[in-house]
Amino acid sequence: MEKEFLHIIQKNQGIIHKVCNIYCDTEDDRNDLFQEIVAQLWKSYPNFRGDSKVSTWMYRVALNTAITTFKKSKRRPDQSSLTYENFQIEDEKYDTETEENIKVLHKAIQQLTGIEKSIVLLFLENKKYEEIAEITGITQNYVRVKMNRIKKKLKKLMLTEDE
Amino acid sequence: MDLQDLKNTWNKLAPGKELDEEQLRSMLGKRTKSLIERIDRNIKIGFAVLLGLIVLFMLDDLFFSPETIEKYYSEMPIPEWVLFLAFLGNILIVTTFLYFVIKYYRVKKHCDVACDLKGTLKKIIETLTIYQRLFYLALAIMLLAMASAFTMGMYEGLNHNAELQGLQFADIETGKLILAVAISVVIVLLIGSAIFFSLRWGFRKLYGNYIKKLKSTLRELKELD
Repeated sequence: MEKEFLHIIQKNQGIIHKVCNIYCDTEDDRNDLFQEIVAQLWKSYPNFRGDSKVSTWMYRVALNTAITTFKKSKRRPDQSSLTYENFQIEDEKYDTETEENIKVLHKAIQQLTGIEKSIVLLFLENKKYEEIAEITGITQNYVRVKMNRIKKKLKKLMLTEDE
Repeated sequence: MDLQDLKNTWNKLAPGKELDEEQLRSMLGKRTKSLIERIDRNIKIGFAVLLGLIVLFMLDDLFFSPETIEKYYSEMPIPEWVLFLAFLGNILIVTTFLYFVIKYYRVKKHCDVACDLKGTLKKIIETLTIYQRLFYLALAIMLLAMASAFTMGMYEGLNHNAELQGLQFADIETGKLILAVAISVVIVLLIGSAIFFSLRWGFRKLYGNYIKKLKSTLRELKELD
């Protein structure tokens, strides 16, 4: 069972990395969250009967873990020193416009709540509303309404940045 | 920049450093850092300690105390109200212990981390609430034990004092008695309150914001239900 589980995780670890990138600001937090998600997936694996897709199950566990994770309150560093280091561009796709867009993307995502981040992540991963609803366990109607609000929020934020 | 640009930008991001099977395997062996897992362990330890205390108190009431009383205090019997208080205290502890165990295992059965977010949030909030109540219960038992011990000590002290003067407890002046009771009550209340409020402050500092954050997330989910 362990071998099978590790094979699944290795093949789909991109999902975990993306969740960690969206929910964490620092390298240490990302590593901690990554490890925690793997531990929770392992704990939940015996009950996974293949009723849903592997990616659906992984997203669900990863997002639940990220949203409910306890962070000790620490003195926050000056906001301007927070970098978007977790948002790295693949070398061959680098250009200055992309780098600017990444700054906007990073700043916009920081303003979202835990649930909004989960919906946005799934939207950016081209998941349909039906699948987003299945992963998050909220109704499709709520996903639609929430997504419209998030789109307005993001548009407003990006407009401010462009100015 | 519009939303499509956002998606295009997202697709250009590198997913992250790929880990091999060995690195992932090493993570399985490590103890989870999850707060809820730690609280889960603490609750089980709390139950074990409470069970130990219950057994100890019962042994004390049934064997140790009667032996001690017979050996050293046969001429100074412990008042019945003190014995009744001790017995009531044990019943309270046993009932509350059973209540927490039943409640806790009901919450545990609820769902695991692969459930929907709402179910997961509810389970975590309920677990934290049980932990908080268990914490207050332990605190209340400790304060009750301190108060009873202090009261018994005051009583024995007054009794002993009276005996030294060749008097009985009933011969002590009412005024002195009232003063002694008043002083006892004030001291117990002051020390008890100080301990209670400082530990409560500590608990809230540790977990207060976390519980608030979880409840606010749950409220956000319930908005359009």
